[in-house]
Amino acid sequence: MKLAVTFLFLISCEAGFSQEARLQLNQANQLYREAQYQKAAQLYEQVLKNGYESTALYYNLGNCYFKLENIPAAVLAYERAKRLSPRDDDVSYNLRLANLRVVDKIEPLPQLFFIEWWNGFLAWFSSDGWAIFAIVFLWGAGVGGAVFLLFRSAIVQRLAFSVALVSVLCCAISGIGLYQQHYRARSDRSAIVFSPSVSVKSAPDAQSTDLFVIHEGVRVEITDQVGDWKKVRLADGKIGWLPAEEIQLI
Amino acid sequence: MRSRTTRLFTINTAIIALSAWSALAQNPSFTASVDKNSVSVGEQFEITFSLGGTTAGNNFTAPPFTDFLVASGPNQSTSMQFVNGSITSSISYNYLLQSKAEGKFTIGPATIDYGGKKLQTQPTIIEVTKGAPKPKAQAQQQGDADLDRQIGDNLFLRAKLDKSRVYQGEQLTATYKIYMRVNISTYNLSKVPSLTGFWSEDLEVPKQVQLSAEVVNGKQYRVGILKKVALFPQRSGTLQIDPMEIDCAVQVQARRRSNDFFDQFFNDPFFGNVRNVNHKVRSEPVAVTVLPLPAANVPRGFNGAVGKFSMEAWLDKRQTKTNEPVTLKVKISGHGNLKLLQSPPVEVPPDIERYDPKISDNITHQQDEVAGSRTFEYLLIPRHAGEMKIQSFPFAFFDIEKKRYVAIASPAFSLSVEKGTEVATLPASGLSKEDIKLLGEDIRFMKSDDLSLRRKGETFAGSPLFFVLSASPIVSFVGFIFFVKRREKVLGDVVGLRNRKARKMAQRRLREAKKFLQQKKEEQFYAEVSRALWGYIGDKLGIPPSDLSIDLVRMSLESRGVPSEAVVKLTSAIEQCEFARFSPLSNSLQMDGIYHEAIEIIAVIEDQLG
Repeated sequence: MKLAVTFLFLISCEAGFSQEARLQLNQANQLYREAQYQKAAQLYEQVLKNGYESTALYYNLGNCYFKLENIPAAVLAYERAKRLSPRDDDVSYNLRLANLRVVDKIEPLPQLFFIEWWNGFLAWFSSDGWAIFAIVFLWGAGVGGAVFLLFRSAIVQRLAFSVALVSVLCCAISGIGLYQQHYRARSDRSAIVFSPSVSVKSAPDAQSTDLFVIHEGVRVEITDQVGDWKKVRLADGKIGWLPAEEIQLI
Repeated sequence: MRSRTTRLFTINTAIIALSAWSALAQNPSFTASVDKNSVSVGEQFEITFSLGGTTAGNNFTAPPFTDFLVASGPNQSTSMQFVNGSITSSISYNYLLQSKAEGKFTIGPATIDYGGKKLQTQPTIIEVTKGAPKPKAQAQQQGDADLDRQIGDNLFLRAKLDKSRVYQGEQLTATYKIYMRVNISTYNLSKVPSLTGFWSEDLEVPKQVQLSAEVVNGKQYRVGILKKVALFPQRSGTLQIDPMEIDCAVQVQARRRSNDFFDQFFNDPFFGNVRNVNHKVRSEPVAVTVLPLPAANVPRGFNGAVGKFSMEAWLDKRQTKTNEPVTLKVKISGHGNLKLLQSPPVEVPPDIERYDPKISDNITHQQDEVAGSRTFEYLLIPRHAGEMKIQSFPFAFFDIEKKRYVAIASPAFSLSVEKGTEVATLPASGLSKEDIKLLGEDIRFMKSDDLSLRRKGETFAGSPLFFVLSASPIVSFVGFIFFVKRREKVLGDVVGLRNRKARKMAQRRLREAKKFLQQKKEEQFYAEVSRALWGYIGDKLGIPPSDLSIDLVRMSLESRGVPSEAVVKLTSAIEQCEFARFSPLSNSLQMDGIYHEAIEIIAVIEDQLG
């Protein structure tokens, strides 16, 4: 009882805070409609700063930056929106448009088709989506098991057993998806290049050889870190080091 | 056709009074003459067929000129002469021929009809030689042979070099001088030296040849400089400087038969009593030794520059915007093979587009030395914003005076590029057709209806609620199992338990029975088998042991679909056991049979009741 009261209190507080943020969001949307993208972007950023996020928020922010020709910021916002809603059609479309404006055309390394399918399948849902699936299937398995134990009828038992088995399998798959989407995406692995052009070095040292140059808006995967230097990998498999301040984590 | 003929036959009328020719008036003569009997290959000469004394000849047929090319002709000319009141005339047909090949050729007779007679010319022999034609061929100029010999000593051409040993790429100057003790009215270069192996630059010489005096072999000559060339050897070894050849018109005194005092007096060229004779003069080839540049310690940036140079480099601005060009100028000045200088290796960051340099030269020839500057103008267009660095680039040359390589380097430049207003040009490569179509499209409009927000970084996955929800089914399931167990115990679901354990119990009892069988304890064996069977059936059918009877068992088994055969077997086995227990007559063979039968029966019933 005591617990429930605390919970309700927390929720009401949350609602109070988010009410203000919601007002700001509404205001920003209004500014966007009036094509005042600079102001709208500032307001969206304000909402983000206050600690809120949503797919629509990132999406609208990305749109503002796109209109302001700030392509790397747009790409970053769309990527963040996509992380929350991997299957949002608008987000994917605008992200694609923004990526077309990126100078570097990086051809992704071809992958084995089943790995590609598998990754595409896992990217189908956000971490929350997979979490819900995992819980639902866990319940399914539990209920199936209980029914199996409770009822003597062979048909009911067989049915319950199949339900439990399928649920356990699906739960395992959801668990993998959850892990992939949540922990992997969360551990700061991807970033967007923000400076207009960066020379990627062969070692975490300003004096080392320039390997190649990338430009703003390129998405890189971070594989290692030494001091203020990040080891990055491009979609085409190129690897090098660049200063951490040149990029922003998704 | 007719007009062409009239055009070809140009008629020249000349009126010449000559008494000596009067005898020819009545007897026409038809002769062939050439302007020279000896020609070189490719040289042109003239052949004239003339009919003297009359113009009434017709049907002129020229001989076939098979060994020669007809450059022009026939050109017809007529001349009229008034001699002592009577008119004599002549007609001539003229051809300009060109020799084709070396050898001695005969031009056949030409024919013409005159007064019903056919007149013929004599055949003409032409000698075609290989080399230069001999000007003395003309019959009138027979005396020129020794004239040439005479000129030979007094007119020659020399090529002089200022150095005989040079390094590859070092400048040397070749001067072509004419030495003369005869007068020359005009000259022209007939063969300009090709100077292979050198890169050459003509140095200026005064247009009006200035003469100076020089003594060669005890003779005083007037010497004029005709040509001066700065040469830069392109390869090492012994190189030959080609001879130069000039055609000059040498003034020689016209010869008179008489040795008259007056004639001798007037033989001075001042009185114009001179004749121009064409004469060819050529210089001797000269060799020069070219040393290769040292192969050791060649510095970076060396590209064949030899001489003495300095380098300046500058950017026209240090700040620019994207897509606004910046000019980098590199000026190399000094003396040496300036025109062979190659553009220095200017390296720019990949974000700057660099065009090939525009090269402009400012070259002067100071005291026969090629000097000046060469400027390379690089157009740089930064394509992206940022701080760009243009690395220092090297330039090296071989210093002729110090005989070693000198390396110099440009300063490094920094260029700050701001984002221009222009939209960056998009690279067309790497975009598919579909992509290009998409480029023209606008982004999709905002999402204004969705105002839901959540705490940043707060996802359902990994939240306490998630863990509670995912743990709850597992906890519930485990709890459920405990609940079921406890309920079984509390409610004493003996029937269910007995059913599940029936077979195990029976097997345990049969194992016990087997022990007795081996120990040959008949009574205990039969008791155990009987108990196993009774127990099994009781457990399976859920009948308490007190209610068990053969009839009840038979009935309930048959009602559950167990074949009557098995039921009969079961009852008989039980009966046998009962019987044997109380009459110890049976043997071990019988015991064994019953044991196996019991196992079989249990298996059959287990199959049926499941």
